[in-house]
Amino acid sequence: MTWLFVLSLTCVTFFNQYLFLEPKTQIRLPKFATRMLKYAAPCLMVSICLPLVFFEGGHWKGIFENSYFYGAIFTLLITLLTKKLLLSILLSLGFFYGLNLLFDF
Amino acid sequence: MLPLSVAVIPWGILAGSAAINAGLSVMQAVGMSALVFAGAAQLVSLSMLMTGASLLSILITVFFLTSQHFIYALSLREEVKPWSLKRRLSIGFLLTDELYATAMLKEKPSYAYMLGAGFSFYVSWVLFSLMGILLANKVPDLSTLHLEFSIVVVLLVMAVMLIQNKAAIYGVVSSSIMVLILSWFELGSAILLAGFSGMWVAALFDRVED
Repeated sequence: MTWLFVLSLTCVTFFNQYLFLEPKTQIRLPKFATRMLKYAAPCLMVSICLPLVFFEGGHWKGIFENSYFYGAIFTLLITLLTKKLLLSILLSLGFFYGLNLLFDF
Repeated sequence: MLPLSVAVIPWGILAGSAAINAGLSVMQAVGMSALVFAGAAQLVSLSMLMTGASLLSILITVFFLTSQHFIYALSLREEVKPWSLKRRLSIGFLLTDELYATAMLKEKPSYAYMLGAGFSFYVSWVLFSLMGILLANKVPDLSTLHLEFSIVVVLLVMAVMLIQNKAAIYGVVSSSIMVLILSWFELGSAILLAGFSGMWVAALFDRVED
């Protein structure tokens, strides 16, 4: 039963990953759709990470008593300021864990 | 691609330990990370398994949860089209949020570049899942370590770096608002719908800017 769970999940995720990489999959994209695709990456990325900031197991974590919120704000500002990938990641992680250590969220 | 492999570490540990906590055997837990190779899908499906959800409902949820890969594949389609089946299948298997983001940093990502990046994510994913599996019995509550914040940081930093014009700003703001509203109502496809609405808004403004 558990192996069935693992293998069927593998099939579903692989199907989603591969479907549109296959040239035989027929699609004709209108111009507007290709324009939308240009913005897929940033829009999807914030959509994936914001629920992690504000929700835990379907429950709203709040704003001001939520260390993820402060961490995300810091990340946003430091990235806009430095425009450097690795530096922003490291500083943001440092800020977040420092905050949790100091204020015991 | 190295900083991104580092970001995979906490997720791998989480996914590995979650599998053991959900009652999988060590072999099944390793197999899950090695075969499914999708962090969010693994964590969500395991928590559903623990709450006693049916296999069908788990599969439907995961289908929508990982449907952003449709969009990733569509944006990579032109590059990937001329490649051999073996190459397409391998990139399909390795395609993740991180690999897509890495590919988007290049104007025209080559197969070698994508395979190298994808494979390094895969290796660190499996290794650190294994670490989570071994740690699961020793550290009782990994969730207090806030490991998932690292994925927030990486995706947020990359999203900001990928914003190139005003249209993208409007899109990202729309997606942010939408995803919070939809997550509030616990919609399984919140990520996809919110991402889609932001893309739509951005494309509208993109046309205005022309």
